[in-house]
Amino acid sequence: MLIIEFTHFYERKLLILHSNSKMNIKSAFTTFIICVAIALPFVLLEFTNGRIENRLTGRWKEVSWTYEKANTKEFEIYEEVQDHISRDLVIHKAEVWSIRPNGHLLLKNRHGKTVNLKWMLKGRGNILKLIHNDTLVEHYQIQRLTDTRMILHFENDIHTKGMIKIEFEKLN
Amino acid sequence: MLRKHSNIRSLQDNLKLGAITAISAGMVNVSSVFMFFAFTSNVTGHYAILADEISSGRYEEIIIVASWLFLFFMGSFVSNYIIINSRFSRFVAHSIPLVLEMLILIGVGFYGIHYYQETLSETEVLVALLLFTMGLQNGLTATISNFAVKTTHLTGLTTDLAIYTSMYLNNEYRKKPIVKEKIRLFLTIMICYVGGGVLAGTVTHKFGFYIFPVIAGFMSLILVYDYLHIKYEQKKMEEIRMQRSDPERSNK
Repeated sequence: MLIIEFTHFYERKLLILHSNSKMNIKSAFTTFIICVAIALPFVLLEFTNGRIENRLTGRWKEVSWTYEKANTKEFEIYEEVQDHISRDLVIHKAEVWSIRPNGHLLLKNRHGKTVNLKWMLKGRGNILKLIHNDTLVEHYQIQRLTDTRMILHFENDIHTKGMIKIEFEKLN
Repeated sequence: MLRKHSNIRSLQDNLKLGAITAISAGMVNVSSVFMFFAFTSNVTGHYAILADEISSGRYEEIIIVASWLFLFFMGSFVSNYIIINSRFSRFVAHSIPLVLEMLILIGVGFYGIHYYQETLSETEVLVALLLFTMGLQNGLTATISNFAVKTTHLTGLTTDLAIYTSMYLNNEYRKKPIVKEKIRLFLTIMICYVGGGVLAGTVTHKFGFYIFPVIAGFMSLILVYDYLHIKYEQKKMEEIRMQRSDPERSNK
C-alpha cells in the first residue's frame, strides 16, 4: 500500500515537472521502476544480513567423522585415522568449536589444548573460511546448518573415499 | 566493435568484441571465485543451486541466490533498454552499458581495497554487483551482435560449437562460409574466456582487489579502439569531401 501511495506521489510530482511532455513522464516513470527493481535485491540481501552468522555462532561439539562417499552407509573414521587426516589442518584433533560473533573461533581438543582462529563466511554463506596466525587459510563447506546441527565437508588426500564429513551438535 | 549493429557487423567486428569481453568475463569469474567463493558469470550453475536451496528449504540462501539471478537479469535488461531507447549516436548508446560495467568494476575494486571486512553481507553485495556487470556485458554483446556473441554463456556456446563442428564434417555444409566463421568465433570466445580465467587465477592472489580496475582498464580498449576508428573515418571522409569540392587542388 505504501509503495502504491509513494508511486502515485512520484507520478504526481513528475506531472508537475513535465506537464508538457507525456513521453518524458513515461520514460522517467520507467526509469524509476528500473531503479527500484535494481535496488530490490540489495534490500533483500540486507534482510538476510546476519541470519546465517547468528545460527553459526555458539559452541559445537564434534559428533562424528565419516567419509561422504564410502561404500557402506555409515563408515565411521576412527580416532587414529582422524589424527592422520587432520595432522596438517588447523582443526587438528579438535573436539569443541566455540564460534564467537566477533569473528573468533576457539578450538578445544580432547587433551584440553585450545587454538585461536579467525572465521568468516564466503559464497552465499556456504563456505567457512578459517585463518590461523594470519597465514594458514583453510576452507570448509557448510553442507547443513540448523539451530542444533551442523555438517561440514572438506576434501582430503584420500580421494577414493571422497570428502570428509564432520557432524556437529550444538552444546548451548 | 561497438559502432555497428546487428547484421551489418563483420566477422572481424564480432571476433574483436568477443575476444576482449570473453577475456574480461573469464577474469571476473575466476577472480570472484578466488575472493568470494561464488561464480559471477555462469548463471546456469546458480539456477541449479537455487533449485537445491528450494528443495532443502533454506530460505536465506534462496533469497541470496534469487537476488543474484535477478541482478544478472536486470543487467542484461538495462543494457538492452539503454541501447534501444537511447537518443545518442550508436557508438555512445553502445558505450553506456560498457562504461557502467567499468565503473562498477572500479567501484568493487575500490571498496575491496579500502573497506572490505570479509563479512558475508559485503560478499553477497559485491557478488551481486559483479553478476549485474556480467549481465550488462552479456546483454550488450548479444544485442549489438544479433545474438552472435555471448561471452558469459559457455553452455550455449559449447553446444553451438559442437553443432557447427558436426556441420563442418558434412560435405554439403562445409562449403558454406558461415559454418567456418561461426566455428572461428566460438573457438575464439572459448579460448579467450579460459585464457582470461587462467590469467586471473595466476595473478589474483598477488593483485587482490586491484584485479577489478585492471579488468576495467582492459575493457576500455574497446572504447579507445572504436573512438580512434571513428576519428580516423571522419578524417578520411573529410579528405574525400575536400577532393570532391576542389579536384584541382587534390590533383596537385
